Amino acid sequence: MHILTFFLALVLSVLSGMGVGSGGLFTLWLTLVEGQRQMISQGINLLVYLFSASGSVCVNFSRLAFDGKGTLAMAFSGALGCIIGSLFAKGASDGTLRICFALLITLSGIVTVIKTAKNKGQT
Amino acid sequence: MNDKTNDHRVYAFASMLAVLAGFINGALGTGGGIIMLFIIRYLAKREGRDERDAFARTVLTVMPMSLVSAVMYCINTQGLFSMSAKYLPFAFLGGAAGGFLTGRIKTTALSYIMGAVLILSGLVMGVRELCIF
Repeated sequence: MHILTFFLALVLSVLSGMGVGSGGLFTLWLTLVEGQRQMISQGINLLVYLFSASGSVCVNFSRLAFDGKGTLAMAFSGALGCIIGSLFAKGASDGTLRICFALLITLSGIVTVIKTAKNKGQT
Repeated sequence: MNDKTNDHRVYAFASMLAVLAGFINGALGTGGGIIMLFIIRYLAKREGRDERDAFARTVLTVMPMSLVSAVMYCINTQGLFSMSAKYLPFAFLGGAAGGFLTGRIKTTALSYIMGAVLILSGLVMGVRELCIF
């Protein structure tokens, strides 16, 4: 267990709370540095995100806007997708999950850069 | 085709994308938020709402998704919560600090750095996996 892991959890949670996102970097650290299995790293990352989002929500509670049916429908649909996705993760090999994860974070990085450039151009 | 039918189709499509976002979140433990934010921003633009509220709305849809994923992972992986417990207080404090800092400091440079790190990490990880195979 590295002391840096705690520091990284804190820093990435700050970024997540700010809306920059952590991009699954904590998962990457846990697999590459701590030597954790991919699925376990993903599970730890999920729990860390949940707690990070909870912290952010506590501070920004008044800013949250609930628009009724639309938000509920998407939350329900998303939850359904999560159940299917986590069953897929349970059945998939570590190698398959790592390749899918690598593809996801590469795409996330590209989207982040393009989105940031677009927002900067609009200001 | 009247406006109401069109609205139903848009929301039906948005719900399908939400299922996809959930699938990615469940399968890979991250990534659902990006798709959700895209959906919510699109809907906000279509309905003439302020897109800046999209981030706050995204949290309300992604958190339940992540909660469901986390529960599934804890069921499927013995001892997951106890392995994660030591990081969770840091995560909560970090999230709270991040929430406080939102809108108070510019995130442009951070976003660029994060994007670059993600691209590099993804490529390195992908190449490493493919080479091992």
